[in-house]
This record gives sequence, structure tokens and C-alpha cells, in this order.
Amino acid sequence: MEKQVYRKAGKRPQPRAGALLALFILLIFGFAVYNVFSPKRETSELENRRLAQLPAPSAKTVLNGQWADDLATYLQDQVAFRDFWIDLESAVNSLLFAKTEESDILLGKDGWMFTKLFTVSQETQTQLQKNLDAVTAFAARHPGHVTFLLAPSASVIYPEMLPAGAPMADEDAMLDDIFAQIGAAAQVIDLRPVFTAAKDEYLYFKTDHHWTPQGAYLAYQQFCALKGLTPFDAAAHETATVEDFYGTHYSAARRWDVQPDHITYYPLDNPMTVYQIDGEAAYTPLYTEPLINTEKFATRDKYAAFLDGNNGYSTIQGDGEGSILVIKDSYANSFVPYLTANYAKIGVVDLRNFSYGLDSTIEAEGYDEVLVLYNFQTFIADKRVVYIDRPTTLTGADE
Amino acid sequence: MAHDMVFNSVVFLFCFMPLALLLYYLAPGRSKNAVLLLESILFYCWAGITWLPLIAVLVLVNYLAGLFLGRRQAGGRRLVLVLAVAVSAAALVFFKYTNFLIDTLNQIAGLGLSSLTFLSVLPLGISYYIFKLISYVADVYTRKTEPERNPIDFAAYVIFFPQLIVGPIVRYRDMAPALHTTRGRCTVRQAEEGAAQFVFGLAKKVILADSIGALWTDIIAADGIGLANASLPLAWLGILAYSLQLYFDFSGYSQMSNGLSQMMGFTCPANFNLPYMATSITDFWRRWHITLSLWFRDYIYIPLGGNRHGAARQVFNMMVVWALTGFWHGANWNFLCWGLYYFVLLVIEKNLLLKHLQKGKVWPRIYTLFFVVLGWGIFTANQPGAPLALLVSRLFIPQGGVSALYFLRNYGVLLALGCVCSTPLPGWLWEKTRRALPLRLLVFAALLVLCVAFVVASTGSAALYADF
Repeated sequence: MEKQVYRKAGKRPQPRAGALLALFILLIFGFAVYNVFSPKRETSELENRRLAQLPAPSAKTVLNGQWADDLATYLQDQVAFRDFWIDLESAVNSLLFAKTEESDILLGKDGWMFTKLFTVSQETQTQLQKNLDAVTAFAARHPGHVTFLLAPSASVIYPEMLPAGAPMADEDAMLDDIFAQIGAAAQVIDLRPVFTAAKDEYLYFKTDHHWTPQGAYLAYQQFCALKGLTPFDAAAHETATVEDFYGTHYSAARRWDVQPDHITYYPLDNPMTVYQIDGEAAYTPLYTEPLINTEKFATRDKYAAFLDGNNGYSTIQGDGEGSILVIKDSYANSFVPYLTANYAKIGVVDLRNFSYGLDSTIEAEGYDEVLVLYNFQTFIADKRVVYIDRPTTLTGADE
Repeated sequence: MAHDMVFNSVVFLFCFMPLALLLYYLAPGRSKNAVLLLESILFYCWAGITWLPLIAVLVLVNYLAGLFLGRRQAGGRRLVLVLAVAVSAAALVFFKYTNFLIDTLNQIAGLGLSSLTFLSVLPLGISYYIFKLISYVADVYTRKTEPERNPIDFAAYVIFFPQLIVGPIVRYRDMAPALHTTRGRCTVRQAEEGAAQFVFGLAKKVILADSIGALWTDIIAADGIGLANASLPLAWLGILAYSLQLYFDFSGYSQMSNGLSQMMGFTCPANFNLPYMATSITDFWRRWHITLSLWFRDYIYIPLGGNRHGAARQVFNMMVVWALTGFWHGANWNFLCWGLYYFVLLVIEKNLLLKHLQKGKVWPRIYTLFFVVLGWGIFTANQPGAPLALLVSRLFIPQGGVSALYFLRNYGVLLALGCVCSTPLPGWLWEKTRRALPLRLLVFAALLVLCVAFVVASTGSAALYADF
């Protein structure tokens, strides 16, 4: 192709015309052709999402532009060497343009990555107040039984690892306010002093938005101290380690100089039963498996091994006495295994997959204790925390 | 809602463009315009066929009007011109300003009229092709050009896909020669120049404009830090970033458009000529969105009498032109204010300042940039996070707030690069590489690869100027 164009150009007085055009044609047309035949994927493990598939045209969708839109998304998602292009963009942004953030992830010192949270929007503040009111009202109905544990963001414990001058939202002040409000109705666990004192330990993943099982253990020790329980004896158990964990922050930012994390955990195998939720306080067991699904350690989304991800309702058979219901986000997934040392039955509810109020479940299943465990960033924004205070529909009094 | 096809997307770069160019090159000379028309219609209807009848009617009306106006001796030419222009202008006013008028009436008279939801999205390219149509009938009327007798050629000129989204507003008489060339319409040299223009434009849009613009978004977006919390230096940094974004977005898109046109054999005038190097506001408007300024000069200012009827009339004519220029950019009061702001500045320059400006070397540039950047503050004041009073107070009243430090650190290199790319330096360097072909090819390939990386990694942002 290059030669042909070159000869055409030879008619012109400047003999070199055409080389640039040939390069353009080679790159654009060559890539366009290759792109048609390059392998297509169902999902992107690296981005941890499903990729768009070739849309089927219909007269309607072609004429109203929907098909064209879907086709554009498909081509964007399935473009050849997609992962390479995104890595290149991220590397150029950091190396050439010296940027300190990428796709709303702050690229901190020493491989740290943080969620970019410069401001808490009015909408989120409104949501937070709703969530606070719901948890407070719920706790007030179960006096003396509810503990509220809110994990701070990694940036609160490791502010010195943030990019210089990053104008983060004042999470400290917000945490103070949250604990003050909920503290009126429930026992609260503020981890900031303990975490800050133990910051040399591996408390948070650098490449993921979660805490580590070690961070969770430290939090669990605070919970035991508050409740007068004897903590799970870490010294009596062997740990196992999974290497090369590239978490969600990495998936978003694709930091070129990433330092992969590792997951060190206690390979407990207490049975966990996951339920199908048929209605309010009505469950059918789906399957029973160990509470750590080690198969997921082999995938990209390794943190999902704990409690096998975020199930709506599941129960775990523990080795202690009494029962506890944990209402939670994914931070609890690496925390709950330790509770097997203290309780005979641990119920776990994730309100993002559970649409009923909890009073009826607590009553029907006879839970002695309730632990509400979230991390700050989910708690302030999650629209389903309010389900915790949803009135029961079982009496027929409410819709 | 479906989206229009933007140049900076995988679907355009690696599907539509290669296919469109290939078919266009393969088509024999006489059918090139038909192929071009079909491609343009496909591009126009990409997001749905809703507005196809609209452009079809406008093309037909102006085509017929052109034929009539082109006759040697005909009575009623003036009437036909007025009618044709009225139809085009009415379409533009209706589709672009109806909801604004309804809002305004509601505010003034409290009528409580509901706005028309089908007008919430502007028909693709209407601000641009209407101006092309008006320039066409006006040029035929004044005998500056022969009318186009072939309806396919005429429709291909109006719907010409490289110019649909953000112009430039190229006159028919500038495109007619190439449109009627059936043999050797585009040379290798021309196509090569076009390819280079296209890639430079793409780089401006996806590497500079989108990246630098994120600074302004960091400040004013709903999840941003909020303009009210920005310190004085940060407010300046923000509006500076917005100014650079606007320039690279629009000039980049125009350059992509001209590059495409050139690859197809149409050499179109540059729409930007380093506007931030201007030495006066007058000079700035000879360098910014040149095709629009020329359109207003040729089809509004001069027909109104220009400067031929005394100073007072000239000032009035200028006011009309700048009010219209403002409103053309959007149906909102801030755009009118922005236009009148330039009217005031230009009148002052014409009568007082220009002779002093010509003597200065550095200060005229600073003066120009200051007022242009401030102008962009008015220009963007219709965005929810950036009311003008707040912006002005943040820019001129020293007060505390979020420091500029982090943003300088994060965007510093890009901002510096943006400033450098606003000067003649990159163009000069590119010229220098003519003598070192391997280097030239390497730079070109690297830039193209980088552009693709940014296109794939982004979620595909539309052109800022597409909404105007």
C-alpha cells in the first residue's frame, strides 16, 4: 500500500508527499479491518464489568437511533486491544502529564490509591440524614441490642499518602456528627484512634476500596472489647495468603506502577447457608457452603471470596453462643468470619439485595444482637440503608 | 436518548470514516456527490430519522429559490430572497428559541405556558446549515455565484457530514469548484494535508480539551468542590482551564472537519487562527470562529449598511450583529450579554483604544486575554454551578477557600501544554520536521496512537459547540 501511494505522489514536484498519508491509511484502515476480526469478549475482568455485545437491528431501533447507539457502545467496548489502550492512556497521564488522579481515583504516594471525594453533594447529604434517621429509629426500637460500626475511609487514616494538597471532604467532621447522632440510640464503634495508632499494619488495600482482613480483625477486637467477648484466637490459627490482588481502585485507575496487594486470611470453613428471599421473613435455603469461597481467590474479584459476595440473606453456623444479625455492606464480609468464635448463629443481611424491614426477621429468627457495619462511603450515599427502618408488612397495617 | 456520532469515537474513526472515504474514493467522478450525500444522510440520521424531513424541506426550498434567483431577468427576486431567508430563519428560531421565548413570556406575564418537550434537543447542526443556506441564497441573489442546478450536489453541500456537527460555516461558492470537479478532485498532497489536520484536531479535542476541561468540572459540577468554595487563585485557574478547553474543543473539532473535507478534496478556510495570540479584541474576532464572524459581516453587517451611513448607524449595526452573535450561541440571556459585552469592547476599541494598542507589544495581549477570559465567564454563566455574580466575586474579591495547589499539581503540565499549543510554536516545529521525514512520521504516528488511547479510555464526550 505504501509503495503504491508513493508512486502516485511521484508525479508531484516534492517527492516525499504520500508517506504520511500512507501511514495514516495503514493505521486507520489497518486497525479498522483488524478490529472487525479481533476476538470479542463477554466481560472485561480488568474492568470488572460486562461488555456490550453486537446489537441486533430492527426497523424500529435503526430508525430511532437506538441500534446506532448500541453499535457505538459495542465498538467502544469491544475495540481491539482495549486493555492496552486504557493502560496506555493511564500511563501517559501519569508519566507525561504528571497527573495525580485517573478516573476519579487519587494516585497517592507509595502505590496508594484513594476514592476521590472532594465534596459531599447536597443530594448525598440529604441521603445521609435519611440513613442516620433510619438507623437511629431502628436502634431506638431495639434498645441495648444494636451496635453501629462505621469504618473510616483509608484517606482518613493515611492522609499523608494522599497526593499533595488534595482537598478531600472533611470526613472527620462528618464521622463525628454521625457517631454523635447514632450514639444517642445505639452503641457506636469509632475506629479512628485504634486504626491511626496501628497504621503501620496492613489495614487497607492499596489497590482496592476495602479494608484487609487485618483491618477487619482490629475492628473486630474493638467490637469484642465493647461487648465483653473473648476475641477469636488468631495465634491458634494458621493463615493463608493469596498474592497478586488487583482491586477495584486499580480496575478504575489502571495505575502503571501498581503495587499489587495480597490477602492474608484465616481459612475458616464454618458452613454458610444462602437463602432465597420469598417475602418478608420468609426464606428458602438455596445452598450451603463454607463461608469463604476460595474459588473466587482465583478470579480477579478476590475480595468476593469472603461470604461469597453480597448475598441478601445468609446464616452462618458459629462455634460460640447466642446469635447476632449483621446488617452490612461488603466491609463486613471479611469481618464476619471472626464472629464464628463468639456466636452460634450469625445472620447476615445486605440491604442492597434485601427489600424488607428487619424487625420481623429479628423476631422470627430470634436474634439476640444486631451489628450495623458499613464503611463511610457506602453509608453516606447508599439509598437502601433506609430499608432497615421499613415498617413490617406482615400485620397488614402498612402497605 | 440516542447520541449523534462524534468524530472522536471508535465507531467514527474505525467504521464510518474509513468506509465513507473508501466508498467516496472508489466512486466514479460523476457519482461522488451522490455517494457523499448518502453518507451525509446516514450521518445525519445516526441518532434517528426524526429531523430528516426538516432538512429535506429546507434543502428543497432553498434549492428552488436558488434556481429562481439565478435567472437573468426575473421580477420578484427580492421577494423570493426574503421568503427563502424567512423560511430558514423561522426554522432556526422555532427549533432553537421557542422554549426560551415561552420561558421568558412565563416570567414576564406569568402565562404558565408549558414548554415543548420535542424541542428539548436541538436538531443536529441546525445552527450551522441554516447559515450555509442563507449565505447561498444571498450569494445567488447578489450574483456572486451561479445557482446549483443539480439537486444532489446542492443537498451534498448542505448536509456535508464533516460540517454537520460544528460547522464551519463554509459558503457554497467556496465549495462549488470542488463539488463540480469530476476528475482528480483530491490530490495525494491534499489528502495528506487533510489527514494531518484531522489528527491534530483530534489530538486537540481528546488529549487537551477533555483533560483540561476536567479542572473546571472539578469546580462547578454537582459533585465538584463548588465555585463558592474556590479560593481566588483557584477561580482564575478554573476559568483559565475553561478558556483553554473551549478553544481546543472547538478549534480541534473544526480542524477535524476541515481535515475530513480536505481528504475529500474540499479545501476549506481555517476556522481559527491562534486566537489567544490576538493583540486586540478586534484582532481576536478575526481569529476566533472566523467563518461565523465573516458570515455576520457579509450577511448582516454589510447589508445593514456597515460603516457607510455615519458613525451612529455603524454603532447600531454593530450592536445588532453582536446581539445576534450572542444569541446564536444559545437561547439564554447570558449569551446575549456576552455578545453585547463584545459590542461595548469593540466600540471602545474602535473609537479610543486601537491606536494605542498598535503601539504596545506585551500589554495588548494581556489586555485582550483578560477580557476574553472574563468573557468566557459570562459565556458559561448559564451552567448551574457557575452563576456570573459568584464567579466575579470569586475572581476579584480575595477570600479564602480551596487552594489551587492540588489542581496546579494535577493539571499543571496539561495547562502548560495548553498554553504552548495556543502559540505558533507547535505549528512552527511541525513545519521544521518537513526536512526530517522519519521524525515527522514518528511524531504523527505517536500522536495518532495516543489519540486512539484517549478515545478508547474516555466515555466519548460530545463537542461543546454542537449545542449552539
